[in-house]
Amino acid sequence: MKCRHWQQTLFLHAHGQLGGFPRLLVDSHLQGCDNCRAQWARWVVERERLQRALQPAPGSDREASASIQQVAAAIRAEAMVNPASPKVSPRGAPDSARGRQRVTLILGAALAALAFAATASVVEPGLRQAGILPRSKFSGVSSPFGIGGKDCGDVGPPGLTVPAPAGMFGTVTNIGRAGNRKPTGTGPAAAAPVCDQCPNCARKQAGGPTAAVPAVMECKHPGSGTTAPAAAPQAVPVTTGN
Amino acid sequence: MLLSLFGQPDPDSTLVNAARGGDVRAFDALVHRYHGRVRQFVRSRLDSAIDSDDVIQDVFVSAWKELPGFRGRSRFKTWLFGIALHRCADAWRKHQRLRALLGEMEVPFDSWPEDTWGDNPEGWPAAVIERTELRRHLGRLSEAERQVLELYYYAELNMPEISALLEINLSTLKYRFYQAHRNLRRHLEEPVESPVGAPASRARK
Repeated sequence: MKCRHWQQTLFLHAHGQLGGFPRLLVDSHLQGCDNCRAQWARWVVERERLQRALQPAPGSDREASASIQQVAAAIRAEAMVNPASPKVSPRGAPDSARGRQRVTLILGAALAALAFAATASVVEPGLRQAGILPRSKFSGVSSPFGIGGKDCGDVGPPGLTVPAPAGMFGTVTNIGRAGNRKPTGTGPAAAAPVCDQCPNCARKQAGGPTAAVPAVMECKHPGSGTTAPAAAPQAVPVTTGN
Repeated sequence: MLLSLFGQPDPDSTLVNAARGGDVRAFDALVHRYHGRVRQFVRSRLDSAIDSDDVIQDVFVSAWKELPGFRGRSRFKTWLFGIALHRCADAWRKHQRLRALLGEMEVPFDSWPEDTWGDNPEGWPAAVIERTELRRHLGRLSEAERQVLELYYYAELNMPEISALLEINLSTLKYRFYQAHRNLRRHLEEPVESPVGAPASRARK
């Protein structure tokens, strides 16, 4: 960059209007460039001259105090005409204090929500393991908090669009082109193969809540010993339950 | 509110809150604090034919009346100079209308003389001469440029505050600030056209 391109930046630097990286950049340039340093010094001198010259003029105290008396008298007259001017905000607190309270409330609510979500993420998998909570039927849905079955590795039908389940952070992961997916089962739910290690499959056998899982779901657990059929999957309507 | 939470706190907040509660003496303290700057600012913006003391009084009375509407989104000083800016514009428009009604010819802008130094510049101290000359050259800048310089030097507002007050982009404001200084420097380097103390020929809006 040529020195003439630095002129406005030098000016802003001399007036303290630069910060962060641009300031460091100018500082380093000034160390190695005499011409720019002279320009910068000139701007500083002019700034100080203007600041000095445009201060309230000395020697005007008498006039100023007369003017202040005049203003004070006018304010008192106004206060007498409208004694209720205190015009305070309805609850008596100034706006800045009320605004501060409002911000505190919002921050508190956000923190509480965060704490709740974190707790849920810790507790929820344990409850599911213990069978207290039903497993999610949205098998293709995963979330950072463990909502959605993933332990079977089952994948929903291609193009399946499932809204997020009860958990608020659910994300759909199984949307995509059919060609990108492995073929999955085509038979009814009762015919889907099961393993003997996975709790999800165990509940399927027991007729638990996951019996409603769409027929295309299959277990890819190594212990199941099943292989996926070669046939292309059929679109299966999915009810989201909502 | 945002300023007080995330930025520098308003040094006037205690007095402002007391004044909002109807404490006239707290407002008096604010008047004492800012009277000098407001006076300088108003005088720099108005023709000497306009009674600046009336405008100054109007500024502070308006501030007192409007204090309940002050939300604390800016510093009190910024808010006060916003009022001063509008009152000056009102006074100037009123003055122009009056002149038009009276059928007066357009006369050049006549800046306020330096306080207590009289009309003869020969006996003035060097600092006063310098100040008068600077003010005269300031009067030769465009309205937009002069406004920025006056708010920066007289009102001592910072760039973000001036940007909010004039409702212009910060980058635009910085460029305008730079241009104003460049033009002022150019005027100062030009050979003197008229003696110090002579009126600058600029009309203000």
